[in-house]
Amino acid sequence: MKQISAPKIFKLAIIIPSLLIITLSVVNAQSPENSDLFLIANNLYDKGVFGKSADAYEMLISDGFNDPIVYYNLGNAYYQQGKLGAAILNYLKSQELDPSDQDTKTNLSIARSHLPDSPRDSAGSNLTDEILLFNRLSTTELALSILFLWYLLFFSLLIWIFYQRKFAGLTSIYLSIFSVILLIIFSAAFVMRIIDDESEKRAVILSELVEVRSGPGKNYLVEFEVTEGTETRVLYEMTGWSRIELVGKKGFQGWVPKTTFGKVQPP
Amino acid sequence: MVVYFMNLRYFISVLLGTLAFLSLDAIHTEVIIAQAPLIRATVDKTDLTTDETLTLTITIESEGNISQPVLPSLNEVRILSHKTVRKVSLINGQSSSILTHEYILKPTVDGPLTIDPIQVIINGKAAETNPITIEVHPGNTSGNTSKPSAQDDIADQNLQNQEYLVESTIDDPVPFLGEQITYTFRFYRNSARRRFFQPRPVPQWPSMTGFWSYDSSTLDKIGISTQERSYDTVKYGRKYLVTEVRTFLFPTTVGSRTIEPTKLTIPGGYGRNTVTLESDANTVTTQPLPAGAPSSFNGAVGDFAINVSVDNQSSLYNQPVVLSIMIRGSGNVELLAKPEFPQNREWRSVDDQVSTSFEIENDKLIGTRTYRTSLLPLQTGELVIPSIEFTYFDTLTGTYRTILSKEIPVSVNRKSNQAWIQDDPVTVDKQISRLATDIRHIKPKPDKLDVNREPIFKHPAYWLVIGLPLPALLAVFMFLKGTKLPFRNNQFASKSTAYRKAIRTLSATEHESPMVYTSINTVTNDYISAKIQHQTAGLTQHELLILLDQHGISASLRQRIKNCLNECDINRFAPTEIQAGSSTMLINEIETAIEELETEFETNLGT
Repeated sequence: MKQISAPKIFKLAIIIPSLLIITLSVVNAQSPENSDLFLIANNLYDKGVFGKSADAYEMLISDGFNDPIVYYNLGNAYYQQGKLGAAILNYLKSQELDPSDQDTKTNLSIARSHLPDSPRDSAGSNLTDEILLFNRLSTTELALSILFLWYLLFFSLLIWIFYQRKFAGLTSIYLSIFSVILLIIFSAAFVMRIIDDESEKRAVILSELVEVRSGPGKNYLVEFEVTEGTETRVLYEMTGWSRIELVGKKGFQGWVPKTTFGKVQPP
Repeated sequence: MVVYFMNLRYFISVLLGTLAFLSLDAIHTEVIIAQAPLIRATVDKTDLTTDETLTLTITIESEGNISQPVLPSLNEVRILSHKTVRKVSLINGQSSSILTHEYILKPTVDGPLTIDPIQVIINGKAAETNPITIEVHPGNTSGNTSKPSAQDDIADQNLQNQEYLVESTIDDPVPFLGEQITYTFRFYRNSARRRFFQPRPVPQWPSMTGFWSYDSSTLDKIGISTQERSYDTVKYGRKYLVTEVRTFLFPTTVGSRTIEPTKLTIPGGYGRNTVTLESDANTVTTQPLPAGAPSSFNGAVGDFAINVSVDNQSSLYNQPVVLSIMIRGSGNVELLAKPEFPQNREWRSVDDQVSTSFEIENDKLIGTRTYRTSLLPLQTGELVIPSIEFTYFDTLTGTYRTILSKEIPVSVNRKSNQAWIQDDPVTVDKQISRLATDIRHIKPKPDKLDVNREPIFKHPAYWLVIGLPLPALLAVFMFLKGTKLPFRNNQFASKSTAYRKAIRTLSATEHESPMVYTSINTVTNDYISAKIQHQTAGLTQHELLILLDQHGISASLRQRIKNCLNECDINRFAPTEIQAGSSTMLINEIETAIEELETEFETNLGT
């Protein structure tokens, strides 16, 4: 039987996944052409033409751009027009894509502070969120972190197999343990994020004043009213109407027309 | 007779005293000092002792804007009280106003006393009185016991034939807002009775709403107990002991307020009835402060002095010096705002401490407010602590006054072991306060904008890449297992499967192949190796047969094995042309031999 040496196995272990990752990134990196619109939108903003600037950012998004910076700038353009609901919605979208951005966090906090009812610094955030790194990562960043840790574990095990009684082999044991622990934490965070994203369905009220009714129709009783910028969760949807629950106010549920709010997550 | 003469002497002395009093009263003509039509100053006497008091009256006949009189420096007298009275009359449709300032003065030294011209600004024009000269003679009494004078005149009228009397007075019934006034309560008691048992009277003080008050209990708490004093007075031949209690008041609201009477209950007993006395009510009309206060005015009213000092005029860099700002005066120091320390590039104020103390001086409550501030030098070299400004409303002059402290030079040296500290004040940590909050500005265009695409973890390639290490690891593991234990060494070969593998291999062997004998040899060796769990590679045929013998294989079977292996060796190493059917016969023979070996192994070894 023909013997294969350890370096050859390492070469194969690196080359094959790398080729796959490169393929993955190339597939993922196809971008539309028309990104000059971003410069136009920024220019309009700087001139104080906030309405047109917001339109330009919206066009970029409808063209398929899904960048946190576009949402951030769009949030600013709406804020300058006094449209708090739209501003908060776009800051939340930006934060969803890049949770670590401090500018977004600050502006979101300022926009929320203008709300008449219980302005909060951050929806659903707590001290743990601030301390733990993985809560500052987007879902894609979490997925890539898991990939990296998985391969770190793989290579650590390879080193251990081939160089068991040498220093490298002993070091690789610790590296493997480290990788396994982080892998468990990140995988748990990733799973939680996926579940959360699927179930939460965050939304922001965009109309100035919305009547929240006891059923999906105008013939139902108005139970309470919410103002523009109020953050909600969409519980379920029917034709033209959605059942929402106010964030941070358990029990405040009801039905509102679908046109009165915007979802943080794309449908 | 003796009694008659004594009564006569007493009568003559009273008569002479009365005549003397009347003559003095006759002499007590108003001395007009200044003949100016608008302002004049008068004194009630020009010849007195240091035990007596003097009333200085300034009368201003004018309408319009009249400032407070500016008194000259009066080092040789104490101002006991000051009150202001304004009279407005309307005659034949024409109004006239007379404003009177009355000061009760007490000389402190004997000799000629000159009161320099007193200036008043009337409608923007200065007017002043002529100087007044008074002759002061040495007095007979000193210390706490003093003879009441002008203010006691009212009481004198009521003292006649009464055993007890109370009265309450306000030294200035028309004060300015925040100006110190003194509420004095006097209790007159017949001196003849004081040698006997004297029950302690119980006062019931009125409410001082509308005033910041320092009464006897408050002053006791801050260690001042001199607000109560006693002295003897003789009026109409009757000797009284007067007990005087003062309360210092600072009006906090503008307008007229009435201080209700003070009640005093003298308990009875030993044949005497309980007596309750009540003073008159006092009305205080508080005037607002005039308009035009400087921006630095923070509500201080009275007469103040500022004194600024540092604990050390030679300091080290990064080591604070303690700046003491001491404001002393007759105003309500507890309500004083701290004077602003001017912002500058040399010093930074880091800490504040405030302390307050009081004392009574010239019948006034004098307070001292001390602010201690730690100043951190921001530079080295010869620095200066700038002047500190303090503005107050001077009740004597009726004007706002701004006083400045002196600049204090401080030498700041660099610490020898801290040479790394920079001199540039810009680098020193400054207190930063946010003036306003706005959203952060838009971001510039990044190098590449993300597009709306499926998340990477939803792409099948992601999970392919994730799954790849698992089979790879398995393959590596299997590979290593294979390389370390090839089948021919049989270290891991199973005893139970050895026979099956051997027969299967022999069946698969091509009978006409030149390698057929090698295969037969290998299969036989591998089978024996697996069954006896011993390495057979490298053993001679003889050694192999010994091993079989050791495992209980019969001699006939050993011989058959030996024959088969010999034939294989002959055909492998001395090959002749392979005869058709010879290899098949050998394969059949070795299969039979292996079958019999299996039976014997099972019998002998139980496998």
